[in-house]
Amino acid sequence: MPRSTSSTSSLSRRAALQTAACGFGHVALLGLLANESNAAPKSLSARSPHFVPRARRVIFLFMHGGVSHVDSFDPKPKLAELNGKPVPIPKPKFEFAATGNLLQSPWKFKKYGQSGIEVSDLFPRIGSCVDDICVIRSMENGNQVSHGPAALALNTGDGVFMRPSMGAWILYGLGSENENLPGFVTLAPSNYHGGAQNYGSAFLPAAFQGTRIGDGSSRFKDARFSYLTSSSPVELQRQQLDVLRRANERHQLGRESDSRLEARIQSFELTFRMQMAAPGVTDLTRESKATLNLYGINQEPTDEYGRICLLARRMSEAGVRFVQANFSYPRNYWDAHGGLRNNHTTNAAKADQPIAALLTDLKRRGLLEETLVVWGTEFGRTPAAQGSDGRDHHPHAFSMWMAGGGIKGGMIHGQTDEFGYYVARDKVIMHDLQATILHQLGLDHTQLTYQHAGREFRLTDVDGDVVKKIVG
Amino acid sequence: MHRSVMVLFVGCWLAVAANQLCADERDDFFEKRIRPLLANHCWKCHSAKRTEGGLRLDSSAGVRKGGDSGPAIRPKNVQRSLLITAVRQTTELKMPPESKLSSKDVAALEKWVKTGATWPASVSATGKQPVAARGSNDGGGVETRMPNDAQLADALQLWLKADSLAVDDGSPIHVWPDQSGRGHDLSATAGVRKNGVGTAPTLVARSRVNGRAAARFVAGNGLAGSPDHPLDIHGDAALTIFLVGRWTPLETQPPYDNVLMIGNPAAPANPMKPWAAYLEIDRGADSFDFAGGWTHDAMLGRGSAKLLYDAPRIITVTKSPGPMTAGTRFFFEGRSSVDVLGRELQGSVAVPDIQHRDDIGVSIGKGVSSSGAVSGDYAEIIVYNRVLTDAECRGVEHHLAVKYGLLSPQMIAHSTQRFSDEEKSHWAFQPVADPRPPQVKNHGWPRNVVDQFVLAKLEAASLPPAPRANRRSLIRRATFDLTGLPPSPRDIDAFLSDAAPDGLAFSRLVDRLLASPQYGERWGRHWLDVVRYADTTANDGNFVMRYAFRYRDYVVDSLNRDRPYDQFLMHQLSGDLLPHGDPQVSAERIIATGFLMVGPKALAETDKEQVRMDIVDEQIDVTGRAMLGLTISCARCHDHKFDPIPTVDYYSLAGIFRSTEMFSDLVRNASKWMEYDISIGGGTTIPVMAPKDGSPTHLRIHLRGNRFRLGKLAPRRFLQVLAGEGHDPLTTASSGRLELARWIASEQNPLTARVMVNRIWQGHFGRGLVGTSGNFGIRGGRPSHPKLLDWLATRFVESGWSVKSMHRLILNSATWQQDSRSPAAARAATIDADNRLLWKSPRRRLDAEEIRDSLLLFGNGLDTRIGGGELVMRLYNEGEFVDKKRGVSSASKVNSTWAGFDSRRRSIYLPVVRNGQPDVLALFDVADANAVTPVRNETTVASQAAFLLNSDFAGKQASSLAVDLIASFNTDAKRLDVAFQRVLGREPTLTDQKEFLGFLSQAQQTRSTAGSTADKAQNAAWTQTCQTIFCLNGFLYVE
Repeated sequence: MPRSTSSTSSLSRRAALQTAACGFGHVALLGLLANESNAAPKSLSARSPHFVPRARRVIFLFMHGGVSHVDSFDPKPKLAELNGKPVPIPKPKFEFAATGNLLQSPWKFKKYGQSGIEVSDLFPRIGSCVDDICVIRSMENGNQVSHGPAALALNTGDGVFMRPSMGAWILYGLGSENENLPGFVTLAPSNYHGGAQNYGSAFLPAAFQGTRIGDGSSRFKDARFSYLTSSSPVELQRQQLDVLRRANERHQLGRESDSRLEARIQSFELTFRMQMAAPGVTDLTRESKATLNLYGINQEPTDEYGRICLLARRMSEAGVRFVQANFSYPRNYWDAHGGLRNNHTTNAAKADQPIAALLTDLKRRGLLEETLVVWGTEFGRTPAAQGSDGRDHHPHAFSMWMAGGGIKGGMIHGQTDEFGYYVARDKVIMHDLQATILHQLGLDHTQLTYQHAGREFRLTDVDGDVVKKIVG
Repeated sequence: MHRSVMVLFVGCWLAVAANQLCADERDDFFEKRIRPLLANHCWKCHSAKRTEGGLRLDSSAGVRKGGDSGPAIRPKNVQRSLLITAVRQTTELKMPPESKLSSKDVAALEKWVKTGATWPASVSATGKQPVAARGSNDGGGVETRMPNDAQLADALQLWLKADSLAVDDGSPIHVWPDQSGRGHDLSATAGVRKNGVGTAPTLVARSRVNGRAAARFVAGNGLAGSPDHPLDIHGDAALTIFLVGRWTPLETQPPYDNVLMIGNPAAPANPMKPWAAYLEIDRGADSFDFAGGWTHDAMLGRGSAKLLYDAPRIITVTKSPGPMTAGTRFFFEGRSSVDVLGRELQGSVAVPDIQHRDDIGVSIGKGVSSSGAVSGDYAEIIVYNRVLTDAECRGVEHHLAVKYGLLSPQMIAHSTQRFSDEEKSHWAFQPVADPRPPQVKNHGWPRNVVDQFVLAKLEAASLPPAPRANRRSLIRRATFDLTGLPPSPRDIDAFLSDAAPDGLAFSRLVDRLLASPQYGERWGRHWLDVVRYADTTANDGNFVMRYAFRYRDYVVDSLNRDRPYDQFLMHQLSGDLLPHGDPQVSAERIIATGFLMVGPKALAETDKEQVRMDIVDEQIDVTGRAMLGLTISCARCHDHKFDPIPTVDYYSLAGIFRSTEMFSDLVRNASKWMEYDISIGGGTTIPVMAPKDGSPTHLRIHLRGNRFRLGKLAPRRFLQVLAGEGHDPLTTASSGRLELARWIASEQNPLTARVMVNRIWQGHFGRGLVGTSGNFGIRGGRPSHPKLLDWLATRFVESGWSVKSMHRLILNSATWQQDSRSPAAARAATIDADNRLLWKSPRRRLDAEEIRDSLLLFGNGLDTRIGGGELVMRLYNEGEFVDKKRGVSSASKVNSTWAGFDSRRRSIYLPVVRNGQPDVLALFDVADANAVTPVRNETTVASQAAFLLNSDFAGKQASSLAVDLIASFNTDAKRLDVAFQRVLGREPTLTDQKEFLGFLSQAQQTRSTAGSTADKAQNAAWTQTCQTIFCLNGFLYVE
């Protein structure tokens, strides 16, 4: 029932985390944790990278709803050959809805770049970046046939139980690089399918949760950081904070030192600094016309996701450790049960240019090497038709891709069977993907643990293997 | 009789154990050496989860079958075993791929293969060997078998199931259709068939067979199958019969009750032509007989019919061709009649005892004129035309046992777990003691016995207690602690000027606060934290549970009425099973079972049994952690890593919860939780959300939590380490929740009272005597004051489980009334930095609800009405309707900005939207309703500061306060004085006055310069000043 641990005169671990979260930033966090690691229980061992990282930051492009792999990154000529014929192999035990016969892709595939990797006509611009991309064609998301559990499995490692999100784990492991910005920002996340749980901190300290800007239901152009706009003129607020700080310092007099009281004084100062810094980071008008054009901003249909991708780059550049750029429900959604042609055409037109722009932009700024870009979706879509022009949810085999951050470009990893129904080789499950992302950041996923409810938890639960073959 | 059975069993065990000594050693070697080795190095790629190369190394069959390259091992042949070749890494085939096993490990595997590669049939998920597995005759692994599975379908002749009858409860069964697929339907014969006499039995939906559907026969009822369509039983017939039912004695003549007859009766002129099989009760000898003809009986002997009357039964009869007594076997719940009765079958040995007839039919009761009547409930009848093997019989028996909740001790014997002495002697599992208060040196300090325990420890550490806090601190601390609200300036004045001695004045204050309705709101919220209360289902749909609020109000009301804690627990677990003469009381108890309902649910999950098992898991988790302080749900996939909670115990409890129906559309698709109307007297009904007791089910262990990989039966019962190893399973015809509730809410339970007094302590000191208030297990914290904990637990039970009496005891102690500053702090910090010995009062931050409610109160905006569901109804009505008819509305779109959160009600009455709490609560670490929150986080982050500085909410409350101050008082000095009194409970110091009034005039001037009118500038300046006061640590922390 009630309350938390109370104050102590010594600096508790929690206080250390709070202090860190309050502005001493990356270095302070690592320093504090390293200092107490000897005294702390094993599970709370030092959080500095376990080895030299290849990437410093992550941008995760989350394609909500389930992008069809056989229509995007995993060409299946066999589907054209057997179009309309019954599926000649057993269908999965777990399906979301009933499906019919095989359905060929309405899109043509073309080879791109030096590597000649095939990408469908949905994503010509991403295709032009394919030499920087490693396409993983052998993703599997268990039996998660519903959006909620599938999205949670991707984002938190578990589709059923409440677990901290990947970004929260990473922030817990590495801290933030910028003392004036949150370390984990999620742009336009959906309120659905797990909602805030997809960027929550669960049992990790709340400081590690993602900070949301906008949501999937609202126009992103209007989205802002919460509570960083003061109704008071800046000078006056500065005076207000000075009065406040002095009063709180008087309060401390005659009391034994209590890290919480100090941390709280610091938290107002950080807020003030963030108020100063945030508008600069979020202000896209500071970008050149050429850059805005590159992302398709102020043009339709690319404006919205263009803004999201550009802001993701600006955040990442400013040191935000984990940025999730969501293409999410209900405004943007890949869930093509019916009207596959229309759905995927429309969505790809919104997303293709901004995503390619992000890769191009990062590369030309020399940021791609240290920024891991992950393009992912909670599941693929069935090679068999749902209705006449639709595909159902398909967690049993689908595609994702990664770029930058020490990942080999211009390669394909894994393979599905000739229909795209099941993984045929080099299966990559969610925990493998997560282990690989952590690995690129210099974190050993088996060592990044947190003691809770009587046992140690980790993002990858009891399994997960780094996909070594794609690591450069 | 029971005693003799027990002796017999023990004898069996010993004999078997002696024979298997050698095998035991091999098993041991496997469990200790080989299984961990395989698990650590191989299963990642070669198990149920991943089957690289088609190879599985997680079962005996998998190892022997092998993968794409052939069998992994050939027992006793090391050279030809691929597994050995692979781990030696001398050829192309190198395993594990990225490392090499140590030579010791390789040698161990070689030894294992050489000695025959024994793989014990233990199905205990972690491989811990259950003690009795060697003695049970099920060979360690029983597969539940459907009566018509592929192996049995050919022999299946007749399959009657009462639960397949499409007949309303209480209606006659004119036809009982055969489910074997052979069309051997039975029908009521009166008027239907020549010479037919039987009248139709009735369907009883909740029969005496553990509440399952059954066909009830009373005198004169009879069903018979057509003689034109006989069962396919030929020659000196072999057969197997399973009967599930419960019979009652008859008083009529003739004294031969026809339980089941297979084959038409022969003509009286040809008495030597017997029936194929005839099961009868001979009331003369009180004997249960099996007949192959008038003269060819196998009798169980005098008194054996009583077995049928005592309890519901699964009866198995096998008959092989040849002599009757030699070829016939009877079983009751899988135990042989010899075991049960301690004697051999009696009867005729005439050969042949069965003659072939081709006019065989079936008859029950008075189905034909020549047979006797029968009285009883028939749930299921299955007939095969061959003798099923023992394994097949056990498989079907287990299926029936699970289905009907009829387990014999033999079936479950293997679930016994042996705990080590160390596990059993864990402090929290010992009975609660009533220790004598220790002697202390400083007799002047203690105010009550609590202090003696605390002071004794302090004195032992040579630490002095802190001085008593002043009255101003005490009233602020007590008022927040007990009501979650600040004391009003008037309350403070009254208390400061109370002429009574300190102790008396303070105890009167405590009594007044405990009597205020705000007490239940504050402490009810504490309870809601541990029971993961919410108004939406979370996950995919986040549907609104529109009647959950009644449970919340029940909790608040229970605290305010000081409902005895044992009753409080009983109601929540089993209030629906505790009817009361007063409908209002009954209703209250049913509402209390909302406890079971308010957890998160993943209703979009397509695997509905998985949905149910996840809910069960969640219920076990909350029951374990909230009521017992045990993390039982850790044992879902494997035996608990630290606590003596084997997986079988988890599934024993899971059986109890799974026997409770949570869904109103169980037949449809389990997507709508149970809601129904109940009477509250006076002809009025209200809709509630509550479960209903379902049919009792024993679950099988789900290996590694996977419901498609089932292990042994886990009979419904309690935790063995507390209730006794191998204690008797529940035989109740209901879910077992009532029994579970009684077991938990008992003064004999060593955890229940301790856990609760510890929570109460935590509510007053920020940390419990046991720091991990949700985990009293082996990995939980040790009590800082074990004797005090026991002493309090004893007083708690003694007081009639009165929570309020515990508050009085604690708050009136000198320990609680200490100052939060100690003159000895510097030294104390070196000895006991965490203040576990309580050498001062801990400082605590206000929690989320206290902050929100206080801010509303300061601006006179707090709505103090109690209870009610209008906000959740608003949430429901504004949600997205998925299914209007069934009342399913989704709050998925609700986030922290939902307008309903602007309500001025106390925070406890805001709907708890999982993953969608308002920022004012979420930012200040409100309990996350997705799981049990025994202790809240306490974070200090910038977003909290930003919220207080810049949010509309804080601004509005500051503005209300400002407007009130400006309107009510004439001078800025007075206004500041009142603001400080309200928010901080103290007057401003001279420095405060200088600083804040200085800022006020500065702000006023800035605003005026910017063009505001004087009124507006004053307003804005005061608003910003008030908001600054809200940000003071003196408000946020209670000393």
